[in-house]
Amino acid sequence: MLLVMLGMAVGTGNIWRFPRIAATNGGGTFLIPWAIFLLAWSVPLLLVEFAMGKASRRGPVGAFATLIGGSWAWMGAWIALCATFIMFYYSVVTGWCLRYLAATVTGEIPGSEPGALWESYAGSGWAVLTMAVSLGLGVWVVAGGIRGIERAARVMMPTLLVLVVILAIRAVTLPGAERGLAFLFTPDFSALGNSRVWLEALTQNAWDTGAGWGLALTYATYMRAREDTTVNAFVLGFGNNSISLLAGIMVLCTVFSIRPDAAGEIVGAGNTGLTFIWVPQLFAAMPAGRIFMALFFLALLFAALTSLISMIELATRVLVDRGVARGKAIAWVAVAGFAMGVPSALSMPFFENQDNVWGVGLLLSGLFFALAVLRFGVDRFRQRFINSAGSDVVIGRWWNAAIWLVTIEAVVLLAWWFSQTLSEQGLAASLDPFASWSLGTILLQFAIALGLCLAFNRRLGRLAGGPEPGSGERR
Amino acid sequence: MSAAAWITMALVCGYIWGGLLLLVSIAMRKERFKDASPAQPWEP
Repeated sequence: MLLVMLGMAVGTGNIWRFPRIAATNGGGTFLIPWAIFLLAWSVPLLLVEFAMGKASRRGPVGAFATLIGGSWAWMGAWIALCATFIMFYYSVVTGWCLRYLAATVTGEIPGSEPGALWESYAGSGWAVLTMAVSLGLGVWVVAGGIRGIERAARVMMPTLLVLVVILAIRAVTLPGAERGLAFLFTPDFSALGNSRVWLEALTQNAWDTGAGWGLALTYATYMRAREDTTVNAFVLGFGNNSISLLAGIMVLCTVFSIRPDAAGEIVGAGNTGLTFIWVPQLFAAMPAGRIFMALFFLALLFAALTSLISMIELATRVLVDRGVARGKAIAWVAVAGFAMGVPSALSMPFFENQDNVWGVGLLLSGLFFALAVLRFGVDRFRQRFINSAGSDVVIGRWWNAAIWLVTIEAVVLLAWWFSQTLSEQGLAASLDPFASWSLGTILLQFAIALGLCLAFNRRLGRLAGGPEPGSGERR
Repeated sequence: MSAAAWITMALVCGYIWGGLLLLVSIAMRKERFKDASPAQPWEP
């Protein structure tokens, strides 16, 4: 189960997002809030998710309704909606990884023109096709049930770990790699006063670990009664961030070793620019580069696919909890996933907009988990669901404080970021609802999603039936 | 690399990777203990 959980948590965010976000937010300075938020955000929320899933044996909507009452089902619905909207464009990302792995094998990349393949592929019908294939692969694994997901994770996760370690060792042994290490680890303390650095560190932690997505909750519904939650939650958080750190070292050492002259341009080229335009050029300049490039895209594909599987399972689980037969639920998720993924496959501005909006949405998801615990009673929750039978380590009162801290962090960071965006961009620009990254587009889409959740709250609150929380039912 | 970069690297890597090693060792020790122990009463 831990491998399945790690598969959920380790995604493309670790390999392509972390190095870029760390590099563009002060390197060593960014690592300070990133390390703090692991214990001040990710691990406390993972503990909540593990405990809620194991106790309620339901997906996010059912778990919230069971724990704090049917009138609060809208909070679980928001969490499910946020993760599902991420799934819609995440299948596009998985498709890109698949296409680039194929292009490496066939020798299409690296071409003579940097980015030529990306220019002709991104936003084309081929991107829709690879998205459909990736979604089909994910749906096929989920159709095999939790056993199928476990089998896939048992193959993909150890392979991914070995590939990342091989690539990191290769990167740090390249001549001039220490420039990459210096770039990643040199702190710039003046950047700590910027709200964007803290927001990015928190959203990166949320992205990295999957804390607050509802994915860990969904998988925890399948945990055995004797299976530990506490140590697993800690291992998941630290294991996931360990891979991020390795990926950061791997990417930045490679960039600064091969192209120190263009390092600033490369790390500033965005997720897709860095991975799909520059990475092929970097590996091409390395001895046996094609082999390492194939290993890189294979690792990226496995990371993306294991995370996509967890998102498909979450959406399926929500429907199953509503009484829909599992086969039919998977079919609905597949059809919706394809229909809603097409716009992101065909339009990069739309893709970037969705990435930004639902990335910030995870902050609200985390807040809702913390609010649910506060409503239930923090101490009662800890004693009844976290320090339950089967728990290897007893969690003390520090966790009560951590849940209050998560609530304060989410509110303060959102308010700080809102005010800084307004003062930097001005009212008109920051409220533009059609920009890929603006307050306006985020608020508009959040309002629609929250409105839908509240409108269907009464219907969502009616449960499909099941055990009482904490009954320790086995799968 | 500057001294500040070395110190940051040691602290961050020690915290993340050291923490992981410690947790994995705890998890493995607890699992071994569990295997040797009699089944818990609430287990079917």
